[in-house]
Amino acid sequence: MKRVLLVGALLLASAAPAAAQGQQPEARVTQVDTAAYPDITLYVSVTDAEGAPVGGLAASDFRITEDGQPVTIGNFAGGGEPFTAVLAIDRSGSMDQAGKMDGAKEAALAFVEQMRQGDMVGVVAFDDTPRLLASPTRSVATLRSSIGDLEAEGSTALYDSIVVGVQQLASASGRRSLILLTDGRDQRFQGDPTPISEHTLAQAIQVAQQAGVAIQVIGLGDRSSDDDVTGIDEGVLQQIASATGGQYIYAPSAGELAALYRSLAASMQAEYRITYRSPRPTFDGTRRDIRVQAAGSGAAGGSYLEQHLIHVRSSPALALLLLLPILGLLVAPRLVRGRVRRAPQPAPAAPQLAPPDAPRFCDQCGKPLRPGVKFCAGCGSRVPTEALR
Amino acid sequence: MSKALQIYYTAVLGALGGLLGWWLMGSLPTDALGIWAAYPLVGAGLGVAIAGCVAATEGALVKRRALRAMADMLRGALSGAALGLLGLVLAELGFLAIGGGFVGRTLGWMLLGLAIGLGEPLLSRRLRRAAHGAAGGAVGGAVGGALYEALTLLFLRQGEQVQMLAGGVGLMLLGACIGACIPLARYALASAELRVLSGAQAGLVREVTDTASIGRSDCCDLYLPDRRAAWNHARVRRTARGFSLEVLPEAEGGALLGGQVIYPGSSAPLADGAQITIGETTILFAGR
Repeated sequence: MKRVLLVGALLLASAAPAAAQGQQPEARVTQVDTAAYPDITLYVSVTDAEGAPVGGLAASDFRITEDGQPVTIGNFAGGGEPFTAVLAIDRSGSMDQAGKMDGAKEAALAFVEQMRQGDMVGVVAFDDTPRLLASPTRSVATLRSSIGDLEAEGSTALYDSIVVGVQQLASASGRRSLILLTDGRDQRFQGDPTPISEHTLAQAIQVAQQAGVAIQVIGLGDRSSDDDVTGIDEGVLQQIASATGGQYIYAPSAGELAALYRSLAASMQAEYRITYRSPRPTFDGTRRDIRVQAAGSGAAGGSYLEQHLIHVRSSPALALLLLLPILGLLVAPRLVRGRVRRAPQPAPAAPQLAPPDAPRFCDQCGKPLRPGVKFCAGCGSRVPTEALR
Repeated sequence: MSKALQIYYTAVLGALGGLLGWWLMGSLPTDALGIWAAYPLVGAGLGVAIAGCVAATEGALVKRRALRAMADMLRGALSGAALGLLGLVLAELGFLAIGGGFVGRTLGWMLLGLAIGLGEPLLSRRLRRAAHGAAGGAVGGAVGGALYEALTLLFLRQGEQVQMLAGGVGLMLLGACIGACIPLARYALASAELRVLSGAQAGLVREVTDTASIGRSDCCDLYLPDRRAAWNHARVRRTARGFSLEVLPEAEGGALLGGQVIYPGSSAPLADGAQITIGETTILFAGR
């Protein structure tokens, strides 16, 4: 009986959080802008259990802390902020199979159709090298024609495309995103594991991190097979996503891509832009840990590095105060030496003072000389000192 | 003056340099400029102060010649300005590349210390001496930077005045560590040293990296205020087979090497433990 009760209690306990989670929204910090430090701008995406964006929240629904200290929200925008996105699309030869290229084009078009006024989208296609088909533009027509021209042929310069995509986003302000679609891995051709990009994976990731661009990575088609030379390398793709603060999504076939791109666009458009002033607005070069809670969701994390290695501020009063120990240290060795010399001079000195100086007379005129003089008081001639004798 | 005391004084003057740099740069309104505009200026300022003070130590406290100290200070300040400018910019780049934190800050200051250590000998084209100084500066910068970082973390949540004071103390510690480690590294990495056994400078120790000049001019590495020494009397020089003592033509008195007279214009090989007599001063050559 006891055992049944115990098991029952355990089941209830495990069920309860699951039930609560079903109603709990999920918050995610997608971008942290520190260009206007100490004013920090966060982009937060709030989704419900099914992944649909939760709209209509107000500033009072958000609880934000930086390094444990609560912050006051300054500027708040509930969705509708324009974004700049670059779609990086794999157009290697393997995309020709299973309708993947058509699926990708359809998905990119679906994304572009959802652009609002103010949104900018660019397109980078990569095979042997990345090719900029359209730099970020508001013109839907330009984008449609660039996407329509996509054809599959060649290898997969994955890492170089990341660098080009990030460079296109570097000058954009506001929300920036790189959406990367690939069905393979960075290599010369299928069967040859040599990477074809000029940049390494680590370099590409560092470029994205330093620009503060989160990469949404979509892996399409065959997951890595046992022989490690075909299909996507999920480990690498997940690394790219997590290192840059983005997400990795797996799409088993091209047919689902359009819906996926539409939901990515919708989710970015529904993000909340929140600006607050850092509770510790000093230039101290420390990494700050941000926690965001939206309408009862779990805590979403973000962080940024305050960039100053050093911030020099001084006051004359403090400078003079700090000068004193230095002057003391400069003089200290001489004082120590003086004390050491003076110390062993007790009794032996006294008897040496006792014998009086023998009286001396001038060599020239014979007059008596006072002890210690250098010249005779009578005739003025020099008194020879001991050393010269 | 013993080497330990020389290093002590260089450390104290390095701390003074750090304090002066902090005082001067802290009075400038660098907040208005961005990082990449302010840091070349701040780096140059710190470089001038620390390198200038470190370079002046020998002239001021060992040779006790005011004009020599000022001339050395000027040379140090000049090289400090250029290398400090470069050093702090590189330090910030290193700090950001690592992503900040303890390691990032330590690496950053190590780069500044390295730059300052290169300074004055690079100017006088003594490359090996500059390399040794750079190594010392790097170690000093790393240690000083670690201490500075520890101070920053300790006083992170304190008021403005306390943080300002911590910044000043931090830069003093940085200057002291760089100031101590540059001569320490040169001494530790040198292949030989000269010890003055008797005469006015008794107790003075000077390391020999590649060459060391001896004479009554205060430009000489081993400055001898000896009436019977010539302005530029002799030189200890590294050769393919070890070290040799070269007596310069203008040294009328010549030099005594282990009882043998070395005439002006000639040279002789130096063995470890050899005693050189110039004027009334006896110098011991210790090879390592």
